[in-house]
Amino acid sequence: MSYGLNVYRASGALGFSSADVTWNQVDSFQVNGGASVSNTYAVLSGKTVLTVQMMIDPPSTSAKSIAHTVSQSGNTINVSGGNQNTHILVLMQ
Amino acid sequence: MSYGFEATNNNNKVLISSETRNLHFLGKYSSPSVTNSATAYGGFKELSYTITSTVIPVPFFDMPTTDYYGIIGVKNTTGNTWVVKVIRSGTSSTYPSLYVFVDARGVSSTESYGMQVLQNDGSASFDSRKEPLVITGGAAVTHPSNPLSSSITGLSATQCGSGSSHSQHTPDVESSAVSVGSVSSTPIFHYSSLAQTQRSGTFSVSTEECLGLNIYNNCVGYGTSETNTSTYWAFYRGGIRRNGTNIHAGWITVLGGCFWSSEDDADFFGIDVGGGSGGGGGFPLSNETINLASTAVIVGDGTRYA
Repeated sequence: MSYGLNVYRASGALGFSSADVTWNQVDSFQVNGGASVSNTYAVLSGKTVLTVQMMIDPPSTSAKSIAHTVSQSGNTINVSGGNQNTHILVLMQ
Repeated sequence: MSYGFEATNNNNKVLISSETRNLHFLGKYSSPSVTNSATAYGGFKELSYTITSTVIPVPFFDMPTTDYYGIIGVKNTTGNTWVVKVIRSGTSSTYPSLYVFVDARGVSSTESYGMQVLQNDGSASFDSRKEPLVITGGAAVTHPSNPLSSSITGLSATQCGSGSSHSQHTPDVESSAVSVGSVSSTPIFHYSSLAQTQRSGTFSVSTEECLGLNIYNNCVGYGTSETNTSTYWAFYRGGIRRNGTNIHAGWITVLGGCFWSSEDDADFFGIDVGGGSGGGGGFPLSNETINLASTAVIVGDGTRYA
């Protein structure tokens, strides 16, 4: 590489480079079924944001398992409307 | 940010920030236990991976076959023990490996040099010794609203007589191809299966029998009638499959069943003298698809994390 930063492992293998791409975890939190959560993160300002929802228990096969609706408004992540307990990951790059 | 450390790449995307936490490689898990399975309508297997982690795991899976895969549960069962559940379509015994990433607090390293970035509480935000997550691409997928391209036809109305050996409920619809960019020889995917759908077909037949005199199609004396109704159904969850550098969002059949009823009636000279019904089975949705919102797929390079 002609510019940038490489960080190597003890083995000499490249560990990380400024040519790489990643998602950084801003927060992770649990939202239970029927609950609503709004969290604001100043660090999201001007960044690309990705939210990921992971069910804690597999969706039921005997009842409707409604996922939460996750939305972003400015620096605020809103989670609501589901009837299942889920993990929410807030990622940014 | 007014203080701290931030590194960006030449697309101005953040690589490292002292205000966030990079994900680092915790381990690769290749021996799941099969905790549920079925063979009807394409079949499926539910695979459970047990992980020890002090912080929430973010799982990725590889796709060793062209079947559909998805993560359906990430649960902290006790203490630092987590169980990640993955489903796959088909009945093959080839299972994906799970690549688990956590923030730097959850990974130990014995290497004595490298680069660390700390948060203001002194905990590691980034640690080059702990194999930070590098992604190669990603996409957003939306599942088709109906897993079946054709209507359900031709099944027996009598006491679910067609069983589950027919193929009427085998899913055959998937989304258009979605590119995830360049991939390595072993791409790994983070994708949560949230979408669910159910499809059912109801069949009825009525028969009448005259045990008295049949005069011009009118039964005089003792006559019986019977109506049989069977509702065949299947329940699906979303999955993705890989085709080169594309992925498709489709459906995995996780449960199927049939509900039936039988009503018989008898008349003696026009007087109702008896009847009955029976049934079995049930279903959680009715010709409905839920959780169809666009779902993120994150793609990494599994060869970096052997």
